[in-house]
Amino acid sequence: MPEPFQFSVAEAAGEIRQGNLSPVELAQSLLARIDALDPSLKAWVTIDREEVLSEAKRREGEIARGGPKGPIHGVPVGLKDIFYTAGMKTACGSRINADFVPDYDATTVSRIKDAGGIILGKAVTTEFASGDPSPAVNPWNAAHTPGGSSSGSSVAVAARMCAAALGSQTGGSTCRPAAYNGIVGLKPTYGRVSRYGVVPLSWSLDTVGILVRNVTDAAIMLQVMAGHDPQDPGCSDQPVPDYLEEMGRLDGPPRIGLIKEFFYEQSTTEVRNHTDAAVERLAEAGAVIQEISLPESFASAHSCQRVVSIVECASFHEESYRDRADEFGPKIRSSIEMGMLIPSVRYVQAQRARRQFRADMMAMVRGLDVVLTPGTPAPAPRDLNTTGNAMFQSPWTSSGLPSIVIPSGLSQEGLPLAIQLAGLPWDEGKLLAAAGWCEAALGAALSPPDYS
Amino acid sequence: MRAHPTYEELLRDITERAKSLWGEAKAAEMTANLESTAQQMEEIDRTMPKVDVEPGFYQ
Repeated sequence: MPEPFQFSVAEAAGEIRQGNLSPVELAQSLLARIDALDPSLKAWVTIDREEVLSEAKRREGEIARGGPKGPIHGVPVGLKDIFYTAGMKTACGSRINADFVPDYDATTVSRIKDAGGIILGKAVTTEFASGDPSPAVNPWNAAHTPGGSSSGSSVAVAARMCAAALGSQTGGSTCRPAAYNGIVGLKPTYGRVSRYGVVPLSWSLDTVGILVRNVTDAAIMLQVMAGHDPQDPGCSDQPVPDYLEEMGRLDGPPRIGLIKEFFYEQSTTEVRNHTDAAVERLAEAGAVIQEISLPESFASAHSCQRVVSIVECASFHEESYRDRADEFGPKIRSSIEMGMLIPSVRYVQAQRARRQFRADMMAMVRGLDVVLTPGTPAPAPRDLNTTGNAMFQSPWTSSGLPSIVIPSGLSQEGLPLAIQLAGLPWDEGKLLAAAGWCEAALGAALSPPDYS
Repeated sequence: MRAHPTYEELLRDITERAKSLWGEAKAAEMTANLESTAQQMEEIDRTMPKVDVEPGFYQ
């Protein structure tokens, strides 16, 4: 039997259900792993060991008394440090919130607990989920950025310090670090998962993200968290299907729209060749590949995302900025200051253009199961002053369409590469099914050699 | 009056706002960021939905 820390969410929950593994053993294994690795990887900011072990013991008792509470019973989950946790610090990687302790749990946190999960701790985030790099270290190569803003969550999952962690995406903050760390990152449809109790960066863009090591785990975690929450006005009441069942419903290989326009132009030669080779493998396995074009409105997609995000960021942080401007990092400070300058009409124009863009992107995807692009323009950059480039993620965030990145291999330098898939709003079932099919066809599950 | 402001008009507008909020020196430091933001706002104006199409969004 492998060490418990190596289990995926599905494996750990299965072993616990069958009585082969106790939640306490699993928690101890992960805490020991964190003790051994975190001094060098710096993925965690707060871990309450006693609370984790006491919760694990409680889960053990529940199993003995009446069986599992839900699909992740006894499985510890990491949280980006912008998710409210009652009684546990939520510092948002900032000096401003350094000592802030919320008195309630985010809805996502409550749902994880209701499903039997255990909150393992708070993972390092860039400051307020913005662009100033965090101290987290890429387990594939410490000289390269782990990405951001969900950097600690991604590093923790990649280095087997937890099987699942939550992140968020306003530009590319879930899928890009997932790609850079060789794991799976899922950004659900905007509104699919409640943001109640998640510190905002930009209300009309922020989406809770899921970081795991395989597509099945993404489906399990989405199942746990998806669904209406009246406390988040942006959270939809669209019905939530059974995602694992949906994953089994793909009748044959998927129809995939390949988008070379823009995405290939912005990629390095290595990424272009790698994506071509991955697409060829998918075609050989039976996928129907069709090259498609982007809509005209794509031309302003990145600009809309930036204008909307910096104005909303300025709005949220205005009060703190006026009193404590010097305590913000340079990148978020610059975003706040620029956001304060944008006239209201220009902000609303960006929101209007997004409506058109969303409609156009949906029309582009219709008739296909998913669309495919390279995961990122290049592997994780060798530059610790940046979190990398979000340009391949932000169109999906801006349009609200669900997207996922899955590992597809390694670069010449030994860094992870990924493909990105996107689907229609509310159809995460089909997206996960296609992603699971591609994951099996590519067979490229990755593990950082020094942290396997 | 043109349908949308030009890049120069947008840049002038936000530069004036920057000067009035933070003074000439800081506005000068922000020049590159002001220019790229004006460019982005101009780009957005070029892809606005047509006014006769847009009411459909609310149906």
